[in-house]
Amino acid sequence: MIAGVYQRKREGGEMIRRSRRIRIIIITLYILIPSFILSACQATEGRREIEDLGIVTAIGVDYIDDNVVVTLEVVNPLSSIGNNQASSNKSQEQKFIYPKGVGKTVKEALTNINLYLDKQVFLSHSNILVIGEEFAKRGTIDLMDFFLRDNDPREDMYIVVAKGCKASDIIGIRAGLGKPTGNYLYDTFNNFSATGKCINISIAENYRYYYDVSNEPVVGVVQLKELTSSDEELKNDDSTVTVLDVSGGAILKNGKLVGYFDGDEMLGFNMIVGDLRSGTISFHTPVTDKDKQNLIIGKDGELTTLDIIRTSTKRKISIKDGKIHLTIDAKLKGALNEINQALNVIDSEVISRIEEACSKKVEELISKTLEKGQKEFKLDSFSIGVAVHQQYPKIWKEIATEWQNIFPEITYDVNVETTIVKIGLINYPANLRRK
Amino acid sequence: MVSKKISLNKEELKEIFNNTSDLILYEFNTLCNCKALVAYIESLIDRNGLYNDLLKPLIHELKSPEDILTTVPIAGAVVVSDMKAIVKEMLMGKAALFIEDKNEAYIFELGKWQKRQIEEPGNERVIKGPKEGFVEDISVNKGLIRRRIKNPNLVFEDYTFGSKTNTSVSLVYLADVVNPAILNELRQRLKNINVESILDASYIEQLIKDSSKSIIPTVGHTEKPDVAVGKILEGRIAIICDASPIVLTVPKIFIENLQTSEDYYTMPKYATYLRLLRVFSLIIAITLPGILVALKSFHQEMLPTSLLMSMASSREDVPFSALIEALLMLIFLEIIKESSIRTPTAVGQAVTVVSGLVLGQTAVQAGLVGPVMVIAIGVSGITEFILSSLKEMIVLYRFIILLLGGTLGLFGVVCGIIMIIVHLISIKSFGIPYMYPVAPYDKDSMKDFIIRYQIDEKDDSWRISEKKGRRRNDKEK
Repeated sequence: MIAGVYQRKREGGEMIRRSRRIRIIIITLYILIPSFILSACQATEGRREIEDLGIVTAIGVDYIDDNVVVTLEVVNPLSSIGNNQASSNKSQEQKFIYPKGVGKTVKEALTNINLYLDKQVFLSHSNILVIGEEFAKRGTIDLMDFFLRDNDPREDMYIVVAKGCKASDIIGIRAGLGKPTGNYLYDTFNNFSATGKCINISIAENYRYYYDVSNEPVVGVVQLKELTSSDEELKNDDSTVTVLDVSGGAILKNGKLVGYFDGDEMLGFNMIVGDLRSGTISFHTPVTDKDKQNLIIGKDGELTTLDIIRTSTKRKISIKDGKIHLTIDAKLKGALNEINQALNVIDSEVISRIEEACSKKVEELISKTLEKGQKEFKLDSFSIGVAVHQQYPKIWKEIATEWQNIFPEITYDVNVETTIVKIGLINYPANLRRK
Repeated sequence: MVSKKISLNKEELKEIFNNTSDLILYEFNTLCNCKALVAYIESLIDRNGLYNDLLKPLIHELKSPEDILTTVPIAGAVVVSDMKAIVKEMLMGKAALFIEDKNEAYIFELGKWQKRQIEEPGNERVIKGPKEGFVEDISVNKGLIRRRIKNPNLVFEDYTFGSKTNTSVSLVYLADVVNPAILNELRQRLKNINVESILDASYIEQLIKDSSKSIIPTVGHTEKPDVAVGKILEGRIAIICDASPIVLTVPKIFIENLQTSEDYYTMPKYATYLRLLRVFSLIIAITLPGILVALKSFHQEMLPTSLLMSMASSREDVPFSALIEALLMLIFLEIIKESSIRTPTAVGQAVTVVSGLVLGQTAVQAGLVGPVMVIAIGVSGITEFILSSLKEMIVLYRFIILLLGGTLGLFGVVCGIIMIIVHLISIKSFGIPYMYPVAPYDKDSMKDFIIRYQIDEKDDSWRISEKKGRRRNDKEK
């Protein structure tokens, strides 16, 4: 077709040059093509096919008889969740397997798993690291270097302490809707913003707290909980189902577990650190006899529940006579969600009464948690040291190393201001029969 | 030279044309009783015109041999005495009239041959806008352009190429907007053309193209007169080639691949959206299989967990590695595409159904490929049709990126993309950098880049090859 072009090129020494160039190209291809095709040899660091991977969704570490025991949750891809066709054919097959490895270090234990697991352990998709109570008491930082050094595990994996049990007890309980434990726990911890009664701290954050002298971390907690079954098939046997409860927080000191906050204390804790986005508070609004005629239009003495919409916390540090004083100013916006006390909420005076009562309740919560931190653990888990550092940097330099000794001594007062922005869809309590 | 004797002329013509059967040499006596010979190529001549306008007047009305030009009602008749020139004219559909005792011949324009009707070209369909397309006849094509630019500055410059085919080629430009440097460069390159045959405008494209080894199109093609006219108005030069419905435009810059004529007939905002879509398609078309293979075999941590799980379940039975799987699918796709273009329309439907539905689904069921790979290859295969002018580039670079992604992971993909970008920036089309308004950056010309601005009466900054190109060329000198 383009004979003319060809002819023109053929002139002179063009032909010889062409053949030499072709030879160079062929030699290059000889070198390159095998290196492309055979590059699968670099098995560990480089290429690995998906079918060779054992996808881990949760990791548990325990200390048993001076050995590290790693429990993994590995998805069986053939039964897998994503593929409807496969799962309907092979629904009887096991969806997950729970291999355990024993070793002196975490990596050793993980490697030992591969002695009998036909897949390469692949940690990148695990969102949850469960630490057995025993392990947590020995220290969450020692022996954890692997999780930062290796390139497989994620740094933003949530670190969770198994309260009162081993990690291997937790891993394997799937109370979610057919989800692996890892995803179930991960999603439950993400409900943090809805309940305010738990906390999600990642491995990286845990390390950040560890390196910081001004505060100690509070990490998530998971514990086993027995519930009576409502499932029709199991009801008759009076059997129970085991679920995982994530309320509360584990208090660490120098990376070691020293104690726990319970769910309500975590509400106060999240309020102090200014990280409470949502949650509910129940309280009783005191009413005097004199008030009764216009405020109360029904039964007295029941609880009111407020849904927290937004909070903001300001922590002011003042120093008087060499003593550090903490003032916590919290603002809370909420919606009335449930009123059993039969208050006349269309009256603005009633609303301000409710606001006052709520503020008082929250103040109590905060004080209780602070007191527990000061008296029981003698530990600043509330990052109040950070506030001192920010507001009095010069003084902080002198007291930084001593801070954990100073913290139990500081005085504080708490002011909470509640604003009710919604009263709900009905004006009168539902239990009120109107005359 | 033409002889005075008709019989000698007759013999000479027979010899020149190698006694071909479609050469007609008709001898007759005119009214004034002098011998005459009409020579023409039968297949190129309008017979009615020949009988009514040439032979009839000559036989019935001609009073004297001197009155030929006034008697024959055909415009543009010329008198030629060179035999070679006569042969050339005859080959272009003209009739030669020899008169006894005259050493010259009259040439009459009587050309007529079968040509295709003007219809909508299959390649550049539009919903809104003119639907005419170029045909295989140069004079019709010239007319289509002239009809759109009623301006004496529109110049056609004719050339003939191909020592065997004698194909006519015409440059079209607006004398007052064209950049003379580009025009001279084009003339120079045309002068160097020395080929035996030109069958299509693409021959010329390959002969005048910058960086002839590159697979990036640095010469524009169009089959639509409105597109060609648009380019001419922007200061570009169009090249029409006889017997080809494709009109070339030079210089070409990269963004022209992402523009369509319809962009200018719809709302500017919608056109901008479509151009963004095309940029996205271009990226997907080239990189999607490579990125997917890289993710599957190197960077599983970058996939969302649920996608990884469904991939793992679908990959469990697949015997090949992700790279081989993708290569297989891609080659299947290319085979299907090639065969569906070549198959006769009656069978085409069946081929599409069998190849598309049956092969795709059963390949997944048989466990030859995973469903995710079928989707990725299918999507990148479709996107290629959005950017038909970049077809060659997309298909070949897709393979390269795929190989790089399958062997070196995302690192390889990124290296490949960088190399493509470097190549795009380094090439030029007739002195204009290929990535022109971006590299080198020119704010004024950005008005018709990816974001199309409103058509502005006074603004002519989009005439890249006129103003900016000239300035750039001056600098280089």
